[in-house]
Amino acid sequence: MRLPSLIVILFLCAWPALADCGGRTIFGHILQAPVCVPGNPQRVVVLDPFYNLGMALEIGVPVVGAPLLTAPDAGLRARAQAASIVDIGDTRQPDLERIVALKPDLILGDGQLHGQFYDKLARIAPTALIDVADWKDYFLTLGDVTGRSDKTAEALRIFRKRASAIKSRMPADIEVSVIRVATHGFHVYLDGPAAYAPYAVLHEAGVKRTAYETTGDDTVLKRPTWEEIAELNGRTLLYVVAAGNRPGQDDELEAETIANPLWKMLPAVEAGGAYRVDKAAWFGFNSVASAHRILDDVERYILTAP
Amino acid sequence: MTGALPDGRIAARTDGMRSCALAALFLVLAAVAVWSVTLGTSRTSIRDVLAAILAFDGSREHLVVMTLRLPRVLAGLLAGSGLAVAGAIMQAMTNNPLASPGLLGVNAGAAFAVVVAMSLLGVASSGTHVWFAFGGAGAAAVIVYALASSGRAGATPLKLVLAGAVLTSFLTSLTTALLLFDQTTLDAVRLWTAGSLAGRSMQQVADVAPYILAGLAAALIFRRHLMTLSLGASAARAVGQNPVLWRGIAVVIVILLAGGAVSLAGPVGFVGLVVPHIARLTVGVDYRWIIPFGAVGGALMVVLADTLGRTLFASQSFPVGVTVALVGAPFFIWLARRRVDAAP
Amino acid sequence: MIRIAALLLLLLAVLLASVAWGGYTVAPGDLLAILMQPAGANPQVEMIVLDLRLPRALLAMLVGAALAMAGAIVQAVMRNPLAEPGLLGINAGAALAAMIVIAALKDAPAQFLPWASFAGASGMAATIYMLSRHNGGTSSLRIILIGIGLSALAGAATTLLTAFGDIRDVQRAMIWLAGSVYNADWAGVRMLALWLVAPMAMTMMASRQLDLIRFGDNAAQSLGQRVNLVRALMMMLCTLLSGAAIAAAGLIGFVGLVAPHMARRLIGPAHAGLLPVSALIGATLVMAADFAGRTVVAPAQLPAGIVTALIGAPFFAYLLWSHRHAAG
Repeated sequence: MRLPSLIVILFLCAWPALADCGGRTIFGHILQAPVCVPGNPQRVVVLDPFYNLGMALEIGVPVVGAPLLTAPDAGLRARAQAASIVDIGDTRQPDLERIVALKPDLILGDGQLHGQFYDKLARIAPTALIDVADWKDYFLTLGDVTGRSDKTAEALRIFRKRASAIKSRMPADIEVSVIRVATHGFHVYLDGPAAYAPYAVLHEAGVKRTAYETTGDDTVLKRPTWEEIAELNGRTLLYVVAAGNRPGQDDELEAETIANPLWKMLPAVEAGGAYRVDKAAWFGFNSVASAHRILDDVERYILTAP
Repeated sequence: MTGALPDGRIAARTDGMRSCALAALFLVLAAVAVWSVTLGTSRTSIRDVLAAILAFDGSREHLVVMTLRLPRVLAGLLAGSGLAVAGAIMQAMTNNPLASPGLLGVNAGAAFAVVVAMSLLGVASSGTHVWFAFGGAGAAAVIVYALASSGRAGATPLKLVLAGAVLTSFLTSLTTALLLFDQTTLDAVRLWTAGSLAGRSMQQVADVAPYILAGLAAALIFRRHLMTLSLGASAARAVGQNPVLWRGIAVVIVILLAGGAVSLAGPVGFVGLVVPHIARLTVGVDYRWIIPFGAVGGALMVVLADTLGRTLFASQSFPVGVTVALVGAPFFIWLARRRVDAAP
Repeated sequence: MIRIAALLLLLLAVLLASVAWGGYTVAPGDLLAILMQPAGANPQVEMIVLDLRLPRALLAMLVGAALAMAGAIVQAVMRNPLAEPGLLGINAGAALAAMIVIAALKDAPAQFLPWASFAGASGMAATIYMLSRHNGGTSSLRIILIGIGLSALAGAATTLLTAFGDIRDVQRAMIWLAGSVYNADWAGVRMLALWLVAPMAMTMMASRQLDLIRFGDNAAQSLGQRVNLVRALMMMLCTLLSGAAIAAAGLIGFVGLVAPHMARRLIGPAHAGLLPVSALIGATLVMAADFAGRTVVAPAQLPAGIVTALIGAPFFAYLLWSHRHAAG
């Protein structure tokens, strides 16, 4: 007899708190859920120059501040500057005073990077720190938080349609290797449950990687030496060169790399099937547009291969 | 220190015993080096290794031996012996058990120069990085020495130590500041700053080897003078040695050795600090023995550590700076416990 | 005496500057209004001054004072001018614990980090101490050598995590390792202040013991000091001071080395004066470093741990050079 009335009383007490939220209450995939965010945010500050900034710009979120100082993608930075977005510094320690001065009504961040400052940020404005691994879920959550779920759902629908179309055209026997060339060694990002976004896109498009590059556990990458790159024996080889931000640095490294006789002995290189891909999407993945660029590379180099 | 030591094991007190021990250690080093060249993704027999060196035929196995494994092992030998002897000299010169080649700012200077090259000057070739590292190391050591030797007393141990610590802190902070804002360079340089022999080419080894070998030769030839230096300025003068001149010579030798080592292997911090102590704890305080034992011991430690890292953790490019510490530290702690008396 | 007064004035000036300047310059009138009567001021400015700048400045002061005192202790006990709290393995242990929390235990709440780093620091110091006990006593040399060995081990493990961790974790860890008071808040300031009162008081009371131990074990013993006990106690105090500072702000490395040296030049080697003056110098140094770090390259924030070396090192070099003719 007493328990039901207790429950009713508790519910009535909680009701004002729940009803207090003037906008939307977000429950999933963010830190310190549930968080109440404005229904139609007009001044959004993003704290991460990759997923947050790229995806927010893509779906037309009114961003007023972002950490542009260390944004490695020059194109993204240029777009942000063209949209008069204020630079709030470095993503790991954004300038809180500047954020306060911008008078935001919503702050978007990343759970891993910004979780430790949640209390400070929440005092400035409602803060949603997205904490989910898969890039598509991240995109959907961002849409949910900023009130643009229809746009995110639509963009992903288009992407999925294209990816499965490519998958159906993918020749069954071809194996592809992807390697990242850096100044002090190679990085090979694996195809597996914890794959980095571009490589998850490859998987979704039906691209088959060599045994060395596939894994069933949470390993994200391997660092093979010149001796070990012989294991990358796919018929087609895509390589990304990321030496630095100065002009000409990447080309210099590429020249040095492909002149090495051990590189020339790779099966794909001998067969003439080695192609350099642009590092913007493969190295700084930040939106559905990046995913489409990866699919472009797949169509250009893999589907049309002999 | 006379009398029986608590465990009485390694005390090689007579010169004859010491010479035998040194020769034996050298043989062990040679064996480990050869064994290391045969290891890799695929085992290569010793005969194939010799064939690659003497009758190179351009095949993949020979390429792997000559362009990857042999330079790496040679670089490890040179870097290890260079660091150990440089550390011994630093400890003699400053009379401080905490001294290491890094104290003269060598490691910090090299790291700073490489990061500036990659981040601000856009240099991508690792061959050029080697020269930047060497140059940075040398410049830092010269600045430290110049700052320390200003004034009448010259470069006393205290001033040298303080000047070195100051420059090292400054350069390390500057380097960290640059890396904080450049993720690409941080990614590329992460492993190198832990000390790494990966990707050394024969050309780089051949470029740097003359300097390290010259430094080793000088250290061996002058080891009596270096021992006198370790006794302090007044004792040195009493024996007729000019401390200013010999300190200067010692710094030049350290630059050659440690600068060369850091340009080949990156900033490896442990070897230069600890191998001289190990040598001292096993063969006594005579620098005429510490220097050769240190050279062989340091080379052995680095090559062994690199081989372990390469084989046990394939596909991960394990930095040798880490393996050296993991392998050497427990041994060193054990030695320090057993052999250091509760001195005044 | 004049020098001490000047030092105090400098400290106050830096405090004022930290609170008034930044991305947003606060006029003195506004500043007074906020401090006297919080209700009536502009909410943005109030938030900036009271929630952001003031806690940062105060935390920086406390951290600097603690590190400087710890440095003075360790330089006396180790009888080595190169000594700093990191020698006792404190820094390496704290760094390793922090790296483990950041890289391996990603789901741990943020509040866990200070406790973990303190535990790491104390655990490491205790291990070094226990390992250096042999044949009934300790010795400075043995502590130093074992400290080097264990620090190298911990450093190797930390480097392992740095080299193979996710790059974003590594960058977060780098910021923490570089030492920063960015995330200061009133709760943290209160906690650190409470935590530091007892160790600082005990250190001050032990000034004479520190003076004695500098002369060497035999001399100190003949003057009636129980050397091993004092050494153990001093190491513990140093760990408490330094570990608390690291737990609050990460690794700020230059202060513990340099503040005692600068204090010694100002006031001489007697610890009764050396300890408080070192604390003052340390406090000013870290506060100034944090202030410079957040204003000079705004909107980028240079962690205080980096700036202490960037401004402290040239200043110390100047000190070295201007005293070049002094003995030793």
